[in-house]
Order: sequence, then C-alpha cells, then structure tokens
Amino acid sequence: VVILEEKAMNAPLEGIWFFIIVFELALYGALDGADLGIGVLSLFARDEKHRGVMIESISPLWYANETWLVVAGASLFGAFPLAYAIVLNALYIPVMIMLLGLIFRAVSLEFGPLSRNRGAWDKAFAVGSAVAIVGEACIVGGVLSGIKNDGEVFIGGPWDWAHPLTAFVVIGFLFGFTMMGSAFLVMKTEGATQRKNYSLFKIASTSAFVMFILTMVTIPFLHEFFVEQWLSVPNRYYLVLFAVVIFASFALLLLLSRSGSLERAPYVMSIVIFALALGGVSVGIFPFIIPPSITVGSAASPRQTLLFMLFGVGLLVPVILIYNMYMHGVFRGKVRE
Amino acid sequence: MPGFFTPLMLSRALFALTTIFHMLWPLMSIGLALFMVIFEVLWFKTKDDIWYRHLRFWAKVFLLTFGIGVASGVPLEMEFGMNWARFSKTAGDFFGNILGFEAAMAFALEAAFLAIFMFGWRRVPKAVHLLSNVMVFFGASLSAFWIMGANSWMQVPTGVSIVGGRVNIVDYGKAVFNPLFGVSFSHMWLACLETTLFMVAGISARYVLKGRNAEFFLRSFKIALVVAVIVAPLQIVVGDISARKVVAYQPAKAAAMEANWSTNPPGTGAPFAVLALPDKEREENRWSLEVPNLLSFLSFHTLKGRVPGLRDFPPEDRPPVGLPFYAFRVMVLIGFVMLFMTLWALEKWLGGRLVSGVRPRSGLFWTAWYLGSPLGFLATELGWAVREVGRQPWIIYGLMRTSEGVSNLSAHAALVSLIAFGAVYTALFVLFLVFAGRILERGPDFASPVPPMRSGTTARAPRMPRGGHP
Repeated sequence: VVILEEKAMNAPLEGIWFFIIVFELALYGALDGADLGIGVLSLFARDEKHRGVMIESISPLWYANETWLVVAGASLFGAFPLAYAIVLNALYIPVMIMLLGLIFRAVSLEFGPLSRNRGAWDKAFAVGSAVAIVGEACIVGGVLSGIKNDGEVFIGGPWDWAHPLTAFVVIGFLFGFTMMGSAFLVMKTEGATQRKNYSLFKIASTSAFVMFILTMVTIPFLHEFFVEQWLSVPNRYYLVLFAVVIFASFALLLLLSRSGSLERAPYVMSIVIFALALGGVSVGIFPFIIPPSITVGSAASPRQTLLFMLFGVGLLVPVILIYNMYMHGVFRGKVRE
Repeated sequence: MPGFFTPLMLSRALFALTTIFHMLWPLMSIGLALFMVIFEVLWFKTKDDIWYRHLRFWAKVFLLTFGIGVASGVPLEMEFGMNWARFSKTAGDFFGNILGFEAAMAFALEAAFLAIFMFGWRRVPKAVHLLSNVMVFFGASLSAFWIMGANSWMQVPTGVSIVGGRVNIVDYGKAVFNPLFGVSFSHMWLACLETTLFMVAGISARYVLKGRNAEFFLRSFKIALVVAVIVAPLQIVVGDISARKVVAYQPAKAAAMEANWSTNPPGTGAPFAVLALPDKEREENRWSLEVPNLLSFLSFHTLKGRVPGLRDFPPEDRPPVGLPFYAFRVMVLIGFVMLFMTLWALEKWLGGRLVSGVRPRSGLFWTAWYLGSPLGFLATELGWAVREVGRQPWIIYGLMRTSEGVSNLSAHAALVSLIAFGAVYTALFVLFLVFAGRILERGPDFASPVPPMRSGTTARAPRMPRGGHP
C-alpha cells in the first residue's frame, strides 16, 4: 500500500522525466543526427575538396553534440533504472553496433587530419557514421517491436530485435539523419556543395517521411493495445490532429526548401519534423516506456531520486542548451574550402 | 577453461578491458588541461609568445586524447545496462543518478568549452578563451569527482538500504559523501596530475636528450617540476590515508592487499610482508619476507594495532590475493620512485645544474626522466586493479555479489563483444602511439602567426577556421 501511494505521488514526476529524456533525445537527433547524416553524405561527395568542407562543418561540434546521447542515457539510468537495464540488456547487439560505429566516427575525425592517408580515414568516418545510425535505429526498432521481460529482467533472446519493423526504422533513420545532415550542409556551405545538398535533402526528407508513416501504421498491427489506446475518445481526435500537423509541416518543408533562397529553412523544418515525429511516438506510447509491458511508473526510481535529479540534471538541461547555443554561435557562418 | 566462458566472467573481462583502456585518456586530459591553463595564464601575463607555442603544442596532444576518451567512455556507461542489468536495476536509483550528474554537470561542460578553446582562437575574445580553457579543466575534474562518487559508493555503500530488490536511498548526503569519497577523489585527481606531469616531463626530457628545441622543452619540464614538487609528496600522504580507510571500511580487501591471513593476537604487532607467495588452499603464504609490526603501524599508526586477517572472513567472501598484493606493492613503489625523481630534479635545479646544454654529464638524468614517462599510467592502472579486484566478490560491497549483478546474456554475445573491443582498442592504442609520435616528431610550431587576442567580451563572427585541426 505504501509503495502504491508513493507511485501515485510520483505520477507527475515520472511524466516530467519521461519527456525530459525525450527532449534530450530530440536534441541528440537534431544535432548529432546531422553529424552522422553528414558522415553518410560524405560517401557521395564529388571529390576530396567537397568532402573536406563537409567534415570541416562538424569537426568542432561533434563531441558537444554527442554529449546529449550520454546525458539522455544517464538520465534514463537514474530516472528509470528498470527500463535502462531491460532495454540495454535486450538490445546488446544493436548497442554494440552503435558503440563501435561511434568509436570509428570519433577516431577517424581525430586521426584523419594527422594521417598521410586522409582518404582512408574519411571513408572510416563515413562508414562509422552509417554503422552508428544503423545501431541507433535497431535500438529504437527493438524497443518499438517489443521486449520480452518478466517485469524485472529481460527474458528473450539476443536477436529478438531483428524484426520487420526494425527494418523500416533502419531505413527511416538512414534517410532521416541524412535529411538532417543535408539540411545542415545547405546552411553551412555555398556553391556546388550547397546545390547538391538541396537536391539530396529533398530525396532524403521525402523518403524519411514515407518511412515514418509506414512505421506508424505498422505499430498498431504489432501491439493491439495501441489500437485501443489510439482510437479511444478523445485520443483519436489528437491522432487526427497530429497527422494534420505533421503532414502540414512536411508540406511546408517542401515548399520552403523549393525556393533555394532560404538557407536555414530546411534545417529548421527538419528539426521541427523530427521533433514532431519523436514527440508523436513518445506521446503515443506513454505511459509505457517499454511498450506494451513496462510503464514509466513501474520503471521509475523513488520520488526522492527523481526530485534530486530534477535539480541536478533536469534543470541543467536549459543551462547546457544556453552554453551550447553560444558555442554554436561562435562557429556560425559558412565553411569555405 | 570452461569457467571463463560464462556471461559473468566474460562481462567482467569486458569491463576490465574497457575501463583499463578508458582510464588512460582522462589520466592525460585532466593533467594536460591544467597545463594549458597555466600556459595560457603565463602567455596573457607575460605577453611572451613562447607560452602560446607551448599551449598549442600540448593542446594538440590533448585533443587527440580527448577524442579517444569520449569514444571509449560512452561504452562504459552503456555496459552497466548491457552486461550488468541486474546491478543497474538494483542500484540505478543512486548509481544512475550520479552518472547523470557526471554527464550533465561535467561532461557536457567540458565538451562544449573544449570546442571554443580548440577551434575558437580567432573567434572569441581573450577572456572568453581563457574561461573556456578553465572550464575544460573544471569540467574534466568534476567528471572525476562524480565518477569517484559513484565508485566509492560501490566500495562503501552508506546511506542506503535494499528494499524489494532495489537500492533505497535513506540518506542522500551519506550516500554521496560516503567515507571513502573524499580521499578516493583526491587520490585519483592527484594521480591524473602526477601522471601527466611525468608524461610531459618525460617527453620534454626526450627533446633535451636529443638536443632538439631543448630550451623550449626545458621550460615545459620546469613547469612540470614545479607542480610535481607539490603533487608527488602529497600523493604519498593521500595514499596513506586512502589505505587506512580501506583497512577501516573494507577489511577483507585490506587483508588481500597485504596477503595477511591471520589476525595478530592482542599485544603483538602484525608484520608487513614485503614479498610473499600467497596460497589460497593452505590459507597462508608459502614464504614471505616480513618486517615485524610494520603492518600494524601502516594500518593504524600504532605498533600493536589489530589488523584482521583473511581467515576471519568466510572463503566465499574473500577477494583474490595475488593480484591485489603485487599490484599494490608496485603502485606504492612507483609512487616513491616518482618522489625520488622529483627530488633529484629539484636538487639539480636548485644547484643551477638543470640546463639544456650539458648533455654528456646529465645523460643519465634525462634518460631516467624519459623512461619515467609511463610510470603514472602504470601506477594508476595497478591502483584500480587493487581497488576493483579487492572489492570482489562484491559488486556493491557487502550488499550485492558480482555474480548477482550480471545480465541475461548469451556467452556468445559477450565473447564476440570482448573480442571486438579487444581488437578495436588494441588498434586504437597503436594508432594513438603512431599519431602522437607524429605530433612529437613534428615538434612545436614556431612559424604560424600568433592570433591577435582581443579584450572585451563580444564574439566576432568570422569564417570557419581552415585545415581541420589548429
């Protein structure tokens, strides 16, 4: 009874923490997502010079951007230890793939400029980025497709995450992060590189959007629970509203990036779409943190920890944002060859 | 050895491998960050551009260590969930919370200001640049602070109780500021400084030996020496306090560190084994070289202090003995060697003989310092081996066994990840040596123009810097 009472008192705090973590992940996707997307795009660069400009545009920024992954991971660990334990245990292989990809991305950016064989390191950077995206997508796909657990520990097998839904998510992430990357490059470059990224951006954003819709349509077929939850009143109206907003945003994105004169619009709109998509999915599965078995309530730390962390971590998020905005401001402007 | 190919042992091996590798980089980045603060302050104060050259030279090494540090640190955070899910589930309320503090307060700070410090030379005014430099040092140190907080709690888990299979924090203050925290953080932080001092001094000694940029590197050497004069003796004092805390709070670990099997009877002193061959089956040392009463003295600063021996603990609660025993001895020995080298250099300096031009007569001195450059790394890694192996068989001392903390894993997945990380980290280590070697081979850059650092506080918005790394 005491535990139940505590759970009830926790309710708003658990929700707050769930959405703080979603916010941290959104920032990670918007910032490091662009870095990783640029890694994939660098495979298609016309020559060394263009590839150099692309890498240059992120070389001061990537580690600060990767910070958000670490902050989100640690927030999840502290606020929802049960979810952290079950998710990372179940998704051992995808997480390993992501980690190895991130290591390759990082060290090739560090070693490349010192190497006599720059080309090989630039390739390692591209491959590392792509591998990291695939790993991250498999994690998300794995969570959405369901994780077997007994409420305490993971009880499935190591390959459970390899599900058709995960394939959709992987393709969607590759296009989605490439969308971020090309939009960022449109903002940071000029001339031929910029023009090329305008066209890549249109392909990537359209494909990403299609994959997102496909994924969203598939989820209810996997977990009947969501059919009930999403189609109940008033949720069905919110669902319609969400669909209208995200379709309208996508139309606006295509419209604004058509002119070619608004250099920031593609990146801004990509972030809006990404945040809407992530926010939509998160609201859709809430209060589950591992759908459809573990809720935020059953995974959460006690109230005291959630409160303590709210001051030590949650309230710091805006502070981190402020000095990161200053840092990004220091490096604003075009990258030239 | 089928016993090794279990998820438990493979997970332990993976964690050992990844922490041993990761430890190398913060060991350099905290110390180098302090050097860079010193150089930048000297540059602004004296307006002598030679300090700018020092700053840029060591910053190049710093950037290389930072990148690998980030890349190898993220896996550690994830491994708690991947390989130690039951531990994470049980202890996340406190442990994950502290890692959250580390990420949000320290790591984020360091990463953002490092960008400004490294790439913002012509973009921000003087004050902002120096502030970024200080923030990098502060962020790196704060990272160590919280990580040591989390680890010390695993050693002495005060302020909590276990309710329904989960750690429940009874007293936050007691859990964070547990009895080991202050001394452990100090010991580690000083280790970071001392390791870097000896690395910088060792590299400088190499240049002096070769007669290349000798004047330049004599300056780096002297700066390192000034700090070492404070750090080297202080570290021995803190080490002593730290060891006595272990005796007080983790007696089984202390007994293993000293290969001390039997408790000394009242009225007698416990002898200190300088060397020994511990035998787990016979519960004694096959042979040992002992100094009477010294262990009582070291443990309690009295000649007859009662030091519990391993036989006082049930066999299933005893840590391994051989590794902690020898690792501890080598670490302590290195600490004294470092102190001796510092005093040697100080004596030379005060005698006016610490100059770059007299190669033949001081060849031994500079060679010793050159060979001393990896000493700090070795001592710190050994110290961690004592701390972590000595904590066994517990993952949270006295509360949860390591075997209870492991994930539901297939041995195959664990083995493949161990091999993958082993291969990748070996390659990274070799590549680091190659590329750091290139930075050192190229030597300091005296040709590039010194950036005109402006006063004031407003950023200007010029173009992006060219050529990747500065």
